[in-house]
Amino acid sequence: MSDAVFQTTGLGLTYPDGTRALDSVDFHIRPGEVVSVIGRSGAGKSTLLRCLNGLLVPTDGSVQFRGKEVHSSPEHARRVRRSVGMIFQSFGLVPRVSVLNNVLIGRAGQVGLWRGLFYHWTDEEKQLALRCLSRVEILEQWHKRPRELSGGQQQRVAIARALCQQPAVLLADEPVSALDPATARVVLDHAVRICREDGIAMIANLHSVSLAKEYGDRIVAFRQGRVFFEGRPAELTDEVLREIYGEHYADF
Amino acid sequence: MPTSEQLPPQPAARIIPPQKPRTLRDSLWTGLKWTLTALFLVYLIASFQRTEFNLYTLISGGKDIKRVMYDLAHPDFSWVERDAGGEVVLSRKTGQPKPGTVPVLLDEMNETVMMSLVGTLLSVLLSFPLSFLAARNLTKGSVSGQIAYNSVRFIFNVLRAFPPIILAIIFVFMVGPGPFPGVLALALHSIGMLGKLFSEAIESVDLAPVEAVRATGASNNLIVWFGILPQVLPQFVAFSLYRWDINIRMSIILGIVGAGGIGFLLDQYIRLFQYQKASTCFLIILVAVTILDWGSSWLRERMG
Repeated sequence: MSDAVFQTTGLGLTYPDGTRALDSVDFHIRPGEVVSVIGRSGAGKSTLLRCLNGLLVPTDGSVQFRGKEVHSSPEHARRVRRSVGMIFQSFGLVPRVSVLNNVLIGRAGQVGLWRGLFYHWTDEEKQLALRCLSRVEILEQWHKRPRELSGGQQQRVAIARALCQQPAVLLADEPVSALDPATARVVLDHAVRICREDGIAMIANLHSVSLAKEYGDRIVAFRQGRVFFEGRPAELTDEVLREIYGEHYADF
Repeated sequence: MPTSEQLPPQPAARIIPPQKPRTLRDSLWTGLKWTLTALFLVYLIASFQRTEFNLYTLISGGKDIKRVMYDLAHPDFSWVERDAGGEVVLSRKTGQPKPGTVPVLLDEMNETVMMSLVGTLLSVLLSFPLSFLAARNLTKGSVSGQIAYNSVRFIFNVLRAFPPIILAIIFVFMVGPGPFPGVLALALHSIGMLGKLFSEAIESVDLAPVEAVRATGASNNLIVWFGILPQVLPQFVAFSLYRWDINIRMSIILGIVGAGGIGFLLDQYIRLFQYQKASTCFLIILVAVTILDWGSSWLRERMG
C-alpha cells in the first residue's frame, strides 16, 4: 500500500476517561478514492478522522500521510493539516466574518502571522477563494455573513474553505447530518464531484447507509472502535448492516 | 372543558408523602441556622447604633442646614471672577479677566472625562492580550498554559480587589497630586475588571469554528485570531464602553483624594464652605454624566 495517501497500522486511542474509541485500526485511502465510513454513534468514526489530520494524538499505532508519520511532532502534524481539508456536521464557519473571508481562512495554515493578523490576502489567494466559491455555486453570496445563509449554503461555504487549502484529502465528519435529505444530496454532489475532478481523496463519515453506498467507492464500517467491514458498496448486505447497527436496523 | 364526571375517579384516601429521613446532621444544621440568624440580628441592631442613625437629626438639621440649603439652591453661575465690591478681577499676568466658577469647572470636568478616557484606553490595551492567557479553554492541557492561567488570574483578582480610590491615594503619594495618579488608578482597577470579563467571553465561545480553523493547519496565534476573536469582539467593545461609562463617574470621585479633575475642586469648595460653587459643581457633574450616559448607551446599542 505504498501509494496510499493515509495509512494507519494498529491505530488505537483511549480517551482520558478510559473510553477505548479506536482499537487496532488498519485503514488506508488511495489518491482520488472516495471512502464512506459508517457505524453507530460512538463507534470511532470521528475519532479516526481527527487522528488522521493530527487533531487528536493516538495512544497506539501509527498514522502515515504520504509515507511519513503524522504524529512525529506537533509541527509535522500541522504541516499535514495544511494539505488536508476538513468539513464538519456543524459547519464551523466563523461568525461575523464574510463568506469570502471564511473561505480565505482556509489559507490560514499557509500565510504568515502578520498577513493573517491583517487579513491581508494576495490577489491569487482571493482569486482562488472566489473560484472555490463559484465551484460550489455560491459565488453571489460572497459578501454575506454565515448567519444569513441556509444550512446547505453554509456547508457549501465550508467545502469552499476546505478546497481553498488545495488539499490532497478531504475529511468530511458527518457533513450532511444537520441537513434535510434533498439538501444533503446537493452538498454531497458538490463535494464528491469536485474531489473526483481534482483527484482529491475523500473520507466521509455518514449516518445514511444509502448515501454511503451511493457516493463511496469503498465502504468501511466501524463497530466499537474496530473496523468491522470493508468492501465495495454491493458487498454491504442487510446481514452485515444488522451486525453493525443491531437488531433494530431496518433499511432506512 | 372537562366536567368532573369526565375526570378519572380520584382515590379517596389523602396521600401522605413518606417522611423525609431526618439525620443528626439535619438537626445540627437547623440549630446552626437559627444561631447565625440571631447573631446577625444582634449585629444589625448594633450597626444602627454605631452609625448614629437618627431620623430626627435628618429632619431638624445640623447646625448649618439653612445656610447650606440656601447656597445649594443658588448656584454660582459666574463666567468671570469678581471681588467683594463686584469689580471684575484681572489676572496679574495677562491683564485679562480671571475666569469665574463656570469656565473653571467646565475645564476641570473636561479633565475628568479625559482622565477616564486615557485610563480606560490603557486598561483595554493591557487587558486585551492578558485575557487570552486567563481563559481556561485556551490554557488547559499544558504546564506553561496552567502557569500563565493561574498567574494572570491572580493578577486580575488582586487588581480588582483594590478599589480605585485606594489605588489613587497610593499613586498620589507616589507621583504627586494631579490627573496622572488618577489615570493610573483607573487603568489598574479596570485591567482587573475588563480582564475578567474578556476572559469569560473567550471561555464561552463556540468551539466549532475554532476546530475548523485548527484543521487548516493554522498556528495557535492565527487560530485565536480567526476562530475566537470575531466571536468575542462585539462583547469586548461593549464591555470597554461600559467600563468607560463607569470610569467617568469614578474619576469624579478620584479628584477628592487629589487625583485631578472636578472632584478636586468639589472637595475644596466643601472644605471652604463655598456651597454656592459646590452647587454649580454638582449641576455640571449631573449634566455631564447624563449626556455621557446617553451617548455611551446609544453607542453600545449600535454595537450590539
